[in-house]
Amino acid sequence: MTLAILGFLAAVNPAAAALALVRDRRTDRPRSVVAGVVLAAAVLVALAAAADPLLDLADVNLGTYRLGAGVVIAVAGLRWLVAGAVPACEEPDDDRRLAGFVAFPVLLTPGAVVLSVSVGAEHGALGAAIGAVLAVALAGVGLYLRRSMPHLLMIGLVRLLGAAATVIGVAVAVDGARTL
Amino acid sequence: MIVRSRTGRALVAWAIGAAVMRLTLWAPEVCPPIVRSEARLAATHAADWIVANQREDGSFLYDFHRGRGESSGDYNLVRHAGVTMSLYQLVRGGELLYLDAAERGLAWMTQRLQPTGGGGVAFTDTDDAKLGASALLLVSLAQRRLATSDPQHDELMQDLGRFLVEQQREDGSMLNLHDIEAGAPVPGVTSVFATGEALWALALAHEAFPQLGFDEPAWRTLDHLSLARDLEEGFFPQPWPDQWAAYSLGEMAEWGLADHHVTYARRLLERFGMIVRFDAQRGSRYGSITHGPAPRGGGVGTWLEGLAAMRPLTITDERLADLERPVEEALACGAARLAGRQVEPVAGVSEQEAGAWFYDDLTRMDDQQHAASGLLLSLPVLP
Repeated sequence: MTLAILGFLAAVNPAAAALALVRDRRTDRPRSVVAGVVLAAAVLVALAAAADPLLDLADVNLGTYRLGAGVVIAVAGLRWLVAGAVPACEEPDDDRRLAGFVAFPVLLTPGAVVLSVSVGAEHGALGAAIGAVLAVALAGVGLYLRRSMPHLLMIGLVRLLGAAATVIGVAVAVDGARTL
Repeated sequence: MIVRSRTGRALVAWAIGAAVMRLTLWAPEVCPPIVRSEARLAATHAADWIVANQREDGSFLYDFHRGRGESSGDYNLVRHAGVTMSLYQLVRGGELLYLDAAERGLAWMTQRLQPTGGGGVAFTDTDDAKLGASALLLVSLAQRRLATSDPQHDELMQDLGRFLVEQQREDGSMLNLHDIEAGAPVPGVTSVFATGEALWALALAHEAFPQLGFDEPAWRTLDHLSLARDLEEGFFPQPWPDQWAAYSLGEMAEWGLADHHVTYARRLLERFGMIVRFDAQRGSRYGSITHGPAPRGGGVGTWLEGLAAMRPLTITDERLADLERPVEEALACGAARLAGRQVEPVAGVSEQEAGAWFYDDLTRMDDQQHAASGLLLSLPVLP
């Protein structure tokens, strides 16, 4: 469970989420951020709950899936580690559009999505839900409080979590390769 | 950057990424259905190829290129012993029809025995006796003994066992060659195949003659395989998928395996399972492009042998109990895919092709050997 939580934290990368929007005051709209967080968490939990049927539908064994999932997580982590966070965007005026943007692509990262299915299939939806909700909620808090956080610290955190995602991704891939 | 363009770019990147993953690592695994009777039939068709192409003197057709319609004329004593062993496995599995061919293959081997420096006997037709040839002769004799309860070759089995022990080094590794004239092992030459073959032979020798102490060298070699061999040989990824080691582990299971042996067994099972899964991905419409051509029939057969030989461990040893069902699924999948690639013995197909597996238009005797053994040993998991 602890590993799953750490995995989701690294795969969502709350620091990268916090840097996703520019630091202006026009969009202090907690309802939009909360809506985005809820939407992202719901998608991740739904994916975890549907993990087994999804793998069956894809005709892919859990081990094979985890091998690929690990590669996705590691590549996403490497990108954060090497290139840092994606340049920030200007917030849209429309509340619903802001919520949608917070959900995707800010919180629903490739790593978080593939990890949801993996953890859901291996440990069940509850384990995945706890990890995913914690990570996404933390990212939402970071996104809302972004102006009060030292920018340099956040940039460093993005790379640190990227490194963690890389390591976790490699571990997931190796474990997947070894899963019968 | 505005939100819309970033979201759009992310969507495009996701779509491309998903497509690449689906074509490669997440390609669908295709495991056709197969029932026990079909797998048994495929195994016997493979054995039929061996028997139909056996010569009067007991030797077998070594290989056949269907494009050129000819054999290379090569021969290999280790493979001869392996093919004979496989025929005895089939006899043990109830296919008594193959006993005569196996006996003729055995007679060909017993005409090529040489005394070794340490009081053993080696199967060879040159001055450098190969460990694997004698090991697989001993395994053939052990399979024969189990199938027929006939003790007439017991003395030969013991002499062969003594030769194997002569080849063993202190650390449990085995030297591959024995200089018949000098009466001593050739130092410094090892073989990735022969060590496992020798271990299985020693294990079977101990099962047949428990009073002769073949278990002690067997444990030593199993320790070497479990802890050191793959590192020393520089294999990557590890462990090397050694079906001979798998046979040995299956045979020695009832002796009481230590934790490091069980860990090795687990790693081997995982490795075989991964290879079977990868092969199953070749079954998709684009699998042969993204995953390369299907391997030799003999290659797939060795994976099945490895999985099947250790399957009993997943039932009897609680340390491996979690692998029972996955091993059965992998076996069933591999057996189905292997049987599906066999040349069917229908009218108009030559006896050099019927029942064989071809790779680049070439089949070799050990393709049929390993496929027959693997399919036979997979039967218990099939419906």
